[in-house]
Amino acid sequence: MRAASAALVLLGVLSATGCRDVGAAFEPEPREPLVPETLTRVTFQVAADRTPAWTEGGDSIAYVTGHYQPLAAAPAVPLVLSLAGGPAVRLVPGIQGGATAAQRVEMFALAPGDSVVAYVVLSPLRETACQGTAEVTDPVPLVSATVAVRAVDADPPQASDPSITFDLAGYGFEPKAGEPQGGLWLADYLPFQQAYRDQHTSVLRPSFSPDGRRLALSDGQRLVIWEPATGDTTVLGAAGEAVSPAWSPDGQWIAFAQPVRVDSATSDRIYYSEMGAVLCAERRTTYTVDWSVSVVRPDGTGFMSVAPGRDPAWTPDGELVYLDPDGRLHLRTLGAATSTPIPLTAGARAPAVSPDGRTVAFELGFAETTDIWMTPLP
Amino acid sequence: MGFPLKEGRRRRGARAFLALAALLTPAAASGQATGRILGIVRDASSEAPIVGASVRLLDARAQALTDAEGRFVLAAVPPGDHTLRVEQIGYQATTLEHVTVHAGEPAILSLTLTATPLDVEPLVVQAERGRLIEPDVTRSHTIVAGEQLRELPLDRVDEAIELAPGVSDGHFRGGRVGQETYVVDGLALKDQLSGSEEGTALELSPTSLEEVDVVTGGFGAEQGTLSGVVNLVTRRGDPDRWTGRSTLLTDAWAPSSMYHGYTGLSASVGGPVGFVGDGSTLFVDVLAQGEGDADPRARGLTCVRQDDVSAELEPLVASLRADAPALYCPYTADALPNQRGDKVIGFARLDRPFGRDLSLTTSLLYNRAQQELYTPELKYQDSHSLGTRSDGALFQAALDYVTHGSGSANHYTARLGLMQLDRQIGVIDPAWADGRAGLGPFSFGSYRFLGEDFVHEPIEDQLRSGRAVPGYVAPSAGVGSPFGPAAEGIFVTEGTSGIASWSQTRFLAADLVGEHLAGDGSAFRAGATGRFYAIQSYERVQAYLPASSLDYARFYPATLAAFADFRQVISHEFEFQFGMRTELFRSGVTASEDRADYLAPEIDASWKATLLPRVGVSGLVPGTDDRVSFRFSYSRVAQPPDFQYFLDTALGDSLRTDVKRQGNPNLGFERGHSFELGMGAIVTPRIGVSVTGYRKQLDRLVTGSLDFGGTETGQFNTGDNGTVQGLEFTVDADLRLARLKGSYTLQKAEGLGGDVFGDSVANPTTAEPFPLPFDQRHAIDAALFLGRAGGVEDAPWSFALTATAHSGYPFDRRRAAGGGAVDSAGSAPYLPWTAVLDGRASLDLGTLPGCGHCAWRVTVDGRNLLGRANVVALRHDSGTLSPTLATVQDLADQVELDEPIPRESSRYAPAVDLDSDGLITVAEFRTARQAAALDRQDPSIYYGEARQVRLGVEVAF
Repeated sequence: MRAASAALVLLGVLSATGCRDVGAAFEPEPREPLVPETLTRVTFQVAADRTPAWTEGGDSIAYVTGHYQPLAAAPAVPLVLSLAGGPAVRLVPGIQGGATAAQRVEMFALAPGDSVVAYVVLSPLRETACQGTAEVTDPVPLVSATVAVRAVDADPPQASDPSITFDLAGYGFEPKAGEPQGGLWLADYLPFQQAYRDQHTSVLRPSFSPDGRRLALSDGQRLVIWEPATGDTTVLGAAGEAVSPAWSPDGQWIAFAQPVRVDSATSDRIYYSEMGAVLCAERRTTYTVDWSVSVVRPDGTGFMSVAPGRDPAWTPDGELVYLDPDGRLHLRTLGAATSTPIPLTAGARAPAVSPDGRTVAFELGFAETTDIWMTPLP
Repeated sequence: MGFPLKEGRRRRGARAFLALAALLTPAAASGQATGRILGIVRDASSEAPIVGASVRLLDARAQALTDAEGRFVLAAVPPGDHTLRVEQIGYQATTLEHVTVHAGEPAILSLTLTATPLDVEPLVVQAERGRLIEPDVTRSHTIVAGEQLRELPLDRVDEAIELAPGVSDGHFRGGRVGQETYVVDGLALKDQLSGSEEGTALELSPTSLEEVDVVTGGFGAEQGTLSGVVNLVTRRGDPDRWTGRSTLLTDAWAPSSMYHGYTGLSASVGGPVGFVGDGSTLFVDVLAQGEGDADPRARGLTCVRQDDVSAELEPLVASLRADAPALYCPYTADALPNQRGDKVIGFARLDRPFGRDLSLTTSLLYNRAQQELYTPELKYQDSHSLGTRSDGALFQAALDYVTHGSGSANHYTARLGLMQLDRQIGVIDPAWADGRAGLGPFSFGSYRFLGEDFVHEPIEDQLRSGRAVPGYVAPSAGVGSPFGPAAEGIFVTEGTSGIASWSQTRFLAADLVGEHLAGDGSAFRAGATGRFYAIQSYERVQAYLPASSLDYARFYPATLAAFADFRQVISHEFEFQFGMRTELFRSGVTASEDRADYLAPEIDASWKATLLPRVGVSGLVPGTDDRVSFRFSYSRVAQPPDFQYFLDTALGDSLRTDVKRQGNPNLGFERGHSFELGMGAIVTPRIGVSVTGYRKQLDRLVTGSLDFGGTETGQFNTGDNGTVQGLEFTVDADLRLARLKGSYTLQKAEGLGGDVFGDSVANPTTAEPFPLPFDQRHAIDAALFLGRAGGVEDAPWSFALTATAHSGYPFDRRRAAGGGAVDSAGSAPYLPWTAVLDGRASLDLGTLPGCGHCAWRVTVDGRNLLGRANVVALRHDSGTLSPTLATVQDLADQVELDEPIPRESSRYAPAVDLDSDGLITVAEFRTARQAAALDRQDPSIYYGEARQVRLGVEVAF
């Protein structure tokens, strides 16, 4: 019995030895969580990070970056960043691979539950509207857009994603005698084209209905309701020229931005080769626009203009956050006569309200050096 | 109850030492598994020889009769303490206790019998055990007895070997590791494939050994070696009763600064197994040992500290400390990471006598040693560790036939050995590591490596598949270190190392030896031996790349040898020894006749042969009252080169340069001449001293550096030569309360070659002397035994202390030769002195509660008790612990940041974002890279053993 006790003591010593570790391995310093106490910067890249959107749990922010090193060929890639720390990772890893590695994917939307994403592929983009020249001029109008939906962790090829494609207005060719190539190449910077060109505004962005079955989106001029499962589309003609739709949390409203054309200017330009030969001619039209935020019922009824502004977003309580003409984000109850400026949001764009309604994320900065920020809502 | 670990007792003054030593007998032959007892029996009153007296061992089967001169010989006596009975009608029988026999050596007895007409009880006397000088031995050797092995502070047998004069860090008298031979119970055993890197092939636990005999000079003809012979004799079971012991030692209690996760459990048991056969014995020994840090260093995981750095590096360190304090020396620990290891040694020996003259000994030795391999570039890698595992087994069977006549004996031994040794180096499978079953650092199962099955597949299949080794991933270091992306190319934190290699050595050994021992001490011993190997070697250095090149070889070397050794006693005062050995080997490698032409016909490497005479003489110096002895020996020595030299290999030399060398299947013997002259003296009856001068002329050493006589540059050849000469002083004091062994060695080992830097030779014909890599000028070793370890039989405590102080090796041979620094000047050509003090103390606690037959004691075992940070290597580029500024900057400049890294990037590391603005700028990146490059120069591996203290408990029955 005593020998057994001695054996147990030995075993205890051995066990104690087994429990003790020799020096812990190095643990990398974690990134501190991002807490929106005042004005908090979410991304820091010296490139454009735009159009934030919250995940359903409110613990991460998805956004589009203009430079993602592992996908250097892609001019825009959707990412998602956990506020608890860690690096940003691709929101939809199954796309932008292989032959589609250079796709410009922007204006995404997360379906309720975060398991499905709608994304927009803007293509093809050209260096200039004027064909036949390699000269790089100002960004040219968007030519077409494909809106597709996909489970974020899906494996099938991107081509099999349900999608709908729009030919976008603003780019064309007008035959005209006496011009090189027999006509004029048109670069019509319609308000949605101009908003995208100036600030990469998510004019075409899709927005899921609360049940996740339908999407509100814009073809640049009209609101369209698309049901991916069936392919059915409905154009909300009553809304008129409308961009940046946002489906309200209760499903009753679709908010959107309406451009009101104030003025326009047209100019023609001729492109020459390095040897002086005339290559082609381009006609460029630009507009001066006032923006207003409006709402409409998903069936096209109940149109209501809310306030001057753009980039509308909903709070969970059904209030609207938008970019006021004063350059700040404002918070306004639908139907109210006044709005509340959100502090520390001067210069902000593309707001997105957290699921708990306490924080608004937005993009802030210059065109090519935009980052994601956030601040508490009042 | 006294603790029975110390086997035998000593009664002082029972018999004068010199009376025993004056009887000249044949000198020893190294490498034998048994010893012998020689003696003379005289009448106590008349001193006339007693003829026909029966002399027999009471604890073994040896029995002989005295001849007309009263002489007797007992052959094939197992090492250890024995009891001997001498009987003759008309005399009172005498029993002599504690006759100590060492393997390969004679125990010399002079006995007297008292005439008595009555049948009276036998007289019991005690033999004197100590022999402070050996006038009858022509070689330089040191014996560590089994009881000392169990009292000394050591984990491994090679730590005991280190205590012998002339042995340091595995180098015998300036020789390269691997130039010595290990003999286990008479069977020569060595990892001939890579002995110069690995030393012995298989390891025995200290508790499994009866004794260790370390021979450094004056080799007999029985063994082929350049530098030394280590004769290991294993224990056998007690023929009368079962005995055993078990020890647990651990440092689990220690504070973190001395905690290295060591736990060792050792157990041995032995006794009679009558059911196998009358007189049969069995002995079994197991050692299991686990270490969290298997190679503890005096400064643990450290960095280039400010007091290490050179003046040119000082500004960089100062700026790092000011600008990026968190990145300067970011991670230090008392133990090295990724360095876990364990080993299991199992040994079993069965002795089975057949009648009085014939006996069979079989044994099985098993080794499994495995550990993670700390490498500085992998120190922040926590998902994949580099590791090594070796599994080996040796089976041995020996048949001994002994006949004893009147004053003579004949002894014949036929021996067979089979060995297999597998070594694997690779990346430990993380899935295995996660599910590992073990206790602390000890793993119950064998390490599993990534792609292990794949790399053992037929080479043709591997080449055809063109695959990377499964599981291997290209290394990178974007994250996971304190330096984040700045560690790229400096540390590996993701992916794996690229090393996947394994080797297998198998051999079949057969020995046949016979000897005739005459009563006057003369002896003739002759035999033949053969070793037949099957070797496989596989190496892939970028295993993560598909179709990356691999080196593989399979070949069948063989060695044959025959020897004859004759020893003659002349005029009872001098011994003359003459031996001759002939040795042959062939590499078994088939190689292209012209290495530059792959279409050239292939040839088989030829047999190489050499003839090796050995001569020795020893005796007492006349006119010194038998207090002074002398010995002289000359040996022509040779051994086949390590088999790895037959193959292309990346050879790391003492300069820490890994240069690819071209294998040479047609290499010849490494050989040389060895002379030594020694004197021993009895200063007082209890203090003996000796001095030995030696010179080794090494004229055919393997080198890979030069082109000699039409060989190709960079190809291994035996073109180096050099000399080793030295003086060894020893003192052996057997005092009343203590025993002290001490030695001082003065040595110089010098080579003569064209150049020591190999492939970059500018003028290969220039011959200049340079220090051989293991030229150690001064070495002091001492061992002190107190209490029961020192011979005080009734002491309840025991204490053993070992101390070494060694001057450093040359760290840069050209600089040591006065050729100036390679890249820097001003530093010393030799490494600094090292000094280590180890100790072990134990206290008997009496009978173990609950077990009346068991005794127990507690033990404290300490290593490097002074905590000295011994520097055992220096950087080749600077000659100091500090890297050069150029080394650091070159490493830092290998990668530049092309764009800032934002916080949301996977490459972002907060520590590198020095101003915490969420963006790692180019300037911050560069600062971090310099810090990483400095950290990569981690000098941990330049330090010797750490201070360790372990507590243990030992139980014996």
